[in-house]
Amino acid sequence: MGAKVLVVEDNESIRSIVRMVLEMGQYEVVEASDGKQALDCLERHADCALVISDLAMPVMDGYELLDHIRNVMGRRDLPVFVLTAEKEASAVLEHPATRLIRKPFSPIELLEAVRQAVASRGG
Amino acid sequence: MKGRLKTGIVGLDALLDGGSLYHNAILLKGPPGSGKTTVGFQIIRNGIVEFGEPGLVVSFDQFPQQFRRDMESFGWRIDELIAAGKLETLFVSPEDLAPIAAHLESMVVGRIQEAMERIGAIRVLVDSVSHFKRASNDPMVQRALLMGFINQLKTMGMTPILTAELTNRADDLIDFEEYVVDCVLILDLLLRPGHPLPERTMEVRKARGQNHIGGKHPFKFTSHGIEVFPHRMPQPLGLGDLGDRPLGHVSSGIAGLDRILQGGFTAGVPSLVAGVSGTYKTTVLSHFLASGAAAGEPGLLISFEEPPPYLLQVMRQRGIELDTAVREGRVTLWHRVAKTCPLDELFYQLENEIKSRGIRRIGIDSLNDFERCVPEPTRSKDYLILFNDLMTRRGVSALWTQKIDRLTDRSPIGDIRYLSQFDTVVFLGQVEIESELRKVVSILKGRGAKCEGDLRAIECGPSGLVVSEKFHGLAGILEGSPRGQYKKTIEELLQPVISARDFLKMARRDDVSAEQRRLLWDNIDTLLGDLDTRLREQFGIESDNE
Repeated sequence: MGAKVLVVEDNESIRSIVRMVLEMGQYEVVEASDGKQALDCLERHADCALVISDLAMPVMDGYELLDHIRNVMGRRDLPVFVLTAEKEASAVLEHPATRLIRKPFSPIELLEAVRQAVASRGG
Repeated sequence: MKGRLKTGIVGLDALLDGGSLYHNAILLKGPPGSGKTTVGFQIIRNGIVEFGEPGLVVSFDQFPQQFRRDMESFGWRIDELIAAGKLETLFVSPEDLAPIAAHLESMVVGRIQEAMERIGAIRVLVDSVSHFKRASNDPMVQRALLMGFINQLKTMGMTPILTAELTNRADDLIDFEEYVVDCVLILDLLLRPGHPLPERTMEVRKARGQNHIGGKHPFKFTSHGIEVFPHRMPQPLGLGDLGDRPLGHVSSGIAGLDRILQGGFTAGVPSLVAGVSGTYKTTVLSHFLASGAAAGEPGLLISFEEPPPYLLQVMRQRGIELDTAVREGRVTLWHRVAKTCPLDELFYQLENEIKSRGIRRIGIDSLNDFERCVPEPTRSKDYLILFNDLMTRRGVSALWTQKIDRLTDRSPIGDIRYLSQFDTVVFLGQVEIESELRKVVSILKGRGAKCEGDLRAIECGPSGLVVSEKFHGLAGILEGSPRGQYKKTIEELLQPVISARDFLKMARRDDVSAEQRRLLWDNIDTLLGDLDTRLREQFGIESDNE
């Protein structure tokens, strides 16, 4: 099994598709349906190499999750892919380790982006 | 004596620009039950207790026991004041005033002089001088009699406080006693259309030799006497008037809403949340106050609709923690009933609360009910400006709610009243999208900040309200006829199609192992199966059951 990837998405259909893509690449998948659950997962799975997160989610959205990862947990080096259908990304998403993936996304492109991000971390 | 004779009655001295002038005869005039005797005795009592000025009461109206009972209902200990040698009471039968002035001299004036000398009385209440009409049917004689009596009281060194019945309501008919006194206070009971309770008003009709505030001002009976609430007018704001005005923004308490507000509501100015019924307006208000309490900013919620216990229960169910803040005094809840809540009185209560508790955030729910409290509908905007002026001067961040009955136009801006009085206006609506009722939020006005005008979904989660995705590609939402593609539809229909296509491409590659190819076909099968199910549900087509 390859590196561990956390998928944060409240839409079950999208979460399932991302899981399919990651399992194709033989990555270990951890799932969460909102930002709060994601933080709990990150506590338990500190070895996550990548986070793929939606922006609009209940309880805690992607913006808050990202802020928490970067500024509270101090994980400035953890790659985060943000899945969004929004035309304009908020400035808060601008970070060297953050990448925007527009919905609907191409699974082939997503898989390639995951490979690059994990490889850059030495995973 | 020089200077001002202070009545000590809350609000009345302000109407009199600091109090009446010593030796100016004060006339308290009004219909039966308007409070003349109470106001008169309160001036006497306050003179003794607060300003060290002994007083005298001359009553033609009541029996001693009745007078004592009525005044002691306000906690005023008449016997104690008498025992201390600060008060004397003189009860004279009205029949003793008839038929000629000589009776007045022998039966009343002499006794007053003796009492005044015993205690050094400075103030004297005469209740009521309407009985002087018994002395003669001739108005000129009545006038001369009263004027002579007042002058004798002044010569003794006292300030006369007189009561009289209001007999002529017409403005052009002024009773003789108003001409012979120096200060006239009219107490009245007004029943306004649509208001169930009469409004008590006090008016300074005349104040010789001094400034005063005219007009009719509300007052009420409290457990400790009369309180007057002079109606205030907003004053122009100078640069130096804003004091320690907060800068920047204050959080709404809802992360997604703060984002689209570019940080939150503008600090120290009023904002508005407007929307149709059932769209979380009060919940937004509660978030705002809870957020303030958490940030060390004491808050106040004035609710005209929900009583506090019900409000707390609903917010608890929605995941907003207000109970602790209320229990610890960081948030105060006021419940007021529209139409029975005099706004002038509320203004003073609010002003005192801001000063005494250092209130930094105020929520008012709702503007619609606030308007119902206005005595005359044409003055609604005046009162709104007055309240907003107070809160702005004190640097308080205020948030109002306004209920819109229904949207009459494409843009809700046309349905929102007093738009110019608010810095930020948030709109909450409800739309049907794909057979589902969704609540939406949008910023209609955001002065001084770049605010998004897009519509976003707003939902209530376990920890309160969450503002989520924009309604991309949809038009006509507020009209009730959304057209175009919805993000959820894109995710659940288009994304599976794109994904299936990509998996098909991958399956065709030569470098894919048999196991991976099998996995890809399984994924394609799953995606198409799920797509089939969703499309059938959306269009109401029964499944094949194959």
